[in-house]
Amino acid sequence: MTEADFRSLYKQYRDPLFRFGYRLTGSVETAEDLVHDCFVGLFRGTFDARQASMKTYLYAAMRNLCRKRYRDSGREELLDENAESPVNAGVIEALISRETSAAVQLAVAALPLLQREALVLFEYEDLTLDEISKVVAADLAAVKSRLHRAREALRKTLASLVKETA
Amino acid sequence: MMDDELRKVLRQWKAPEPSAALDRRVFRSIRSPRRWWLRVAAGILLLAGLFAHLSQRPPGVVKADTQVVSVAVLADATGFVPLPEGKITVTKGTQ
Repeated sequence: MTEADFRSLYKQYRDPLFRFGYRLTGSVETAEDLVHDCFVGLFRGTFDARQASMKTYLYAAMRNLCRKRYRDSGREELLDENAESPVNAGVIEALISRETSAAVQLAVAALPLLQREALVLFEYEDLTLDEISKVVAADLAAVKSRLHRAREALRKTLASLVKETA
Repeated sequence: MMDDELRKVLRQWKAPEPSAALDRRVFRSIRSPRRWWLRVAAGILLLAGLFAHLSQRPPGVVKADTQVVSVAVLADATGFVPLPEGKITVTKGTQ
């Protein structure tokens, strides 16, 4: 890959990948680290266009780097697909103070990682279900299930906000 | 609550922009290893060339130190008469 090719890809995917990383980790610094590692890996590695599109390849790389961070930091329990989202005291406070953005952030952060990544990719990054299944290396049914659970959990948590905005 | 209503609420959470430092960091990372490898490769090539050059040269001829030594043999041959036809006659001292 030439540097010109790399620059073009970087310009196209830097912001979406950063947003994805930020919404998964809740940290600007960590998201930037992940984006850095993702692009350096792309430049040094061997991307095979026959196996994946650049878009799903990069999102999958970000996702894998993020999961590695979770494992390294000993937060593997958050990877459990069937885990229930705990009621976050911060969400309630944000709801009371009507800080919608903060409430949404905390509610999304409380989701188990597998549900969160599916939700973020679908709701914020506008990936199709098929693309998400490739990124997370799961079948379509599993992705739909995770998305459904995530939405249900958020509906419960953010019910009062939804009523206000409706 | 419909999906559209939930989506409207979710979209109120905006992500920040990445910092300009990220760009510098990424491009520094992808350039420096190449330069490093270029330096190492250039060094290896230089050493290989030097080794090849030295190994092809014929071994040097070591010249021994030579000295011209003149030896003068001085012999007093006065009164020397060679034996006739090389015949030797052994006689007893008393005879």
